[in-house]
Amino acid sequence: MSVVRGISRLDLAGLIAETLKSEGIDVVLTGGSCVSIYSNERYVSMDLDFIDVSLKTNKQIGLALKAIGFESKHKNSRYFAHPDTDLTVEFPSAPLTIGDEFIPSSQVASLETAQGTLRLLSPTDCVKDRLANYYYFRDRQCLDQALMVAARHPINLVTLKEWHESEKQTEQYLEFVAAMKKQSGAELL
Amino acid sequence: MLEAILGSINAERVLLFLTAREQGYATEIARTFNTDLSPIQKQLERMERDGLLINQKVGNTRVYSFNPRYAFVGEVRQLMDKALNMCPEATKEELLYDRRRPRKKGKPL
Repeated sequence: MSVVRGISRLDLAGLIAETLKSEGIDVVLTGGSCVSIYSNERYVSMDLDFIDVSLKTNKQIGLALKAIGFESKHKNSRYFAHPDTDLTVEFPSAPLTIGDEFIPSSQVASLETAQGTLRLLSPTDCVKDRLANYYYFRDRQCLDQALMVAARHPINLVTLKEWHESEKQTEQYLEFVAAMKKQSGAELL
Repeated sequence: MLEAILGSINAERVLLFLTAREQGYATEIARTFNTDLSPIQKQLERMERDGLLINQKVGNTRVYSFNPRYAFVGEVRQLMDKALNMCPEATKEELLYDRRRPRKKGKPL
């Protein structure tokens, strides 16, 4: 039976990360799936976006993923699919950055899953990641996602403020904090 | 000019075009440089796959622009601005002085 069929997003992400790690490929989960994990699936993303921080080729990633049944439709593609899951896997290009901020390895969070260790954006960086989409692309859904994560996890407001300043979004920071305060349950550091 | 860095004259054309006009689609880029469509499309697709560009569908056309979330977008634009300044005057004019203001349908030139 397929190892992928029926397993949760978190476990699938852990399985992919461990499979790649065994081939020397280090990845960090970013994007909407971090929101899904941090919001207990209140927001459902259909992609698992991993950044390959070890800078391997698409071909090396493809070969490693083939072992668990993920295939890409096109040569050298960064997208992979599996017949036993609706979740697709994508590898946006490195480095791991949010706006102008480089996220060093020491800043990456990790979770233990039934399939192994998953490295992913911390809740604070996940909020920044969603807000970056909101500020750059005016994608209102991403603002809601940022608030969803902030409602359930402690957010480091010092680094969040610094990030807004470096992105020249100081006024937006005040608006976001006001929105956080308005929604109940946001725990502030 | 930048073939040594970008590995392809068509990659240079795509980036020059987008630097000058902010956005563009394959046919107009190919037409501007009087070149084949297919290699331009290939470069656009490659740059989108690798995160430098994004595209939005407008009708049946894929309109490309720089991805503001790409880690090196500022540096790429800086380099291309410098290259654009060093282009022959005719190319620069073609790229920078394209009329894009709204024009009423049927209005004579």
